[in-house]
Amino acid sequence: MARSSAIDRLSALSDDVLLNHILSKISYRDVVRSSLLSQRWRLLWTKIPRLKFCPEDFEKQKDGRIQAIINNALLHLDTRLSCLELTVALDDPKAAYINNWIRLAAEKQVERMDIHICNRDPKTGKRISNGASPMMELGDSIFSCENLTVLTVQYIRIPKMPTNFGVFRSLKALRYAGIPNLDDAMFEGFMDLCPHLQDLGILSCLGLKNLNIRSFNLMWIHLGDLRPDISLQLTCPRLMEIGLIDSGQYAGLKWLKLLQQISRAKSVKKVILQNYNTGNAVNPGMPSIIVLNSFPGLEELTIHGQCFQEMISDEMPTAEVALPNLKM
Amino acid sequence: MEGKVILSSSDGQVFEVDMKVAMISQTLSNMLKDTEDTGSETAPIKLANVSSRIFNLIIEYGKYHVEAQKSDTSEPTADLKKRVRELVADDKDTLFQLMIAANFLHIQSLLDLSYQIVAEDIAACKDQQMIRQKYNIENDYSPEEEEEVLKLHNIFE
Repeated sequence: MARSSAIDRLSALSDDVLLNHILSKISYRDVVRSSLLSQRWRLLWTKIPRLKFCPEDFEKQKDGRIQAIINNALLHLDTRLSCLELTVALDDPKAAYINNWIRLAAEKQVERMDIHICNRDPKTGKRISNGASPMMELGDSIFSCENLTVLTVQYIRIPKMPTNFGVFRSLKALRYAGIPNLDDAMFEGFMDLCPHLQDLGILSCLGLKNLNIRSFNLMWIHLGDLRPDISLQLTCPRLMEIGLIDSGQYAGLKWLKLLQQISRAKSVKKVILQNYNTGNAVNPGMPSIIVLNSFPGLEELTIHGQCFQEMISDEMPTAEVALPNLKM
Repeated sequence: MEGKVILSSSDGQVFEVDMKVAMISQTLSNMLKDTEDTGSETAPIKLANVSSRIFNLIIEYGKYHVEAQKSDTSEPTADLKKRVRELVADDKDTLFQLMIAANFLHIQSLLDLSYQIVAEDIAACKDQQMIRQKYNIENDYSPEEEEEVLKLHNIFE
């Protein structure tokens, strides 16, 4: 069999394939190592549009090294940053580090950003579970990321917005998880900065008491593990989908309360209820009736979970509207 | 779509392939739809860029792919990747030819898997010397340049 074994077919691949399909699948450390191969590879690593860091990348490094490596990665980047995923576990997280990373990302016109800073156990180097989150603050460099389209922030305090800030013109998706200082006023203030938001997710933000979501372009809302006594008000004329996620054992009861507060929203086509905890079960008919009353345009109802008693479809109440895609 | 389709490789070998298997190729699928619409007689479709050796591997892959879609394996992609690795038998040249053929035939899943395998193999190399050796990459750095790139690289270690 003829073999052309001396041909370097890897280096012959296009920049696009190497950057977006091969280097994008390996750790940043290995991406940087590729610069040692040959001239072809010398600058390729600086053109990679997605930077992803996870705690496993830094298990043996001290905080100062981690900070320097991420700084250098951002400083050497010679392209627009389409995505920055920063899941970093530090012994002693310092606000200045994070603020500086985000400032550098803003300079590279970052479009998608996922920030999750957590503590790690100095002895084992392993990250401590989300619950033991630091009282870290994101820093106000976040307000210089004007090109953001998707922002996910997890287990970190978010800063008060500066008075002179314009708006996040491009922001389409915003996800909050475990934000300790997010209260009603702060939430509403931030929403006012995102006039084009389409997708909102809020998980485990217990500072929210009266959640008032007013947004003209919003199409998808996912809410999970909020306070049991939360009050909810929706003014979202284009809303298509509502997802309620709950890991607690009273999920069914919480949803009943939440759904009762939603006044008729004709635009909603899809409702998702998700829970994986066996606890105080609820008759599936109850939330179903409320769902049908609140969302006359409903086309699809998806229920995953064990918080409902036997989910037999003929226990469903007779619907006044058609549910052609009903999934249970 | 049922039945068989007749294809010939660049070196003139003729293959009779299950329609279901052929349809995983977007290129073939489009061609077959066109011939179906016109109702014309199906002459063997000539694949000018694919050798019979590689085409045999593609057909094997196609069978796995169709099988994987039917069964509910918990991790269909991982299973398929294993199969592709078996087909390639750690021969880099075969892997790249498969990648080129998958690109030409628009078999997205095979293309993605071949990229994935290259990425994993690069990551598994212990140093740059090993990558160069496996992929026949010539080190064209002058000693001064090499020192420079090493120095820059070390700030990330």
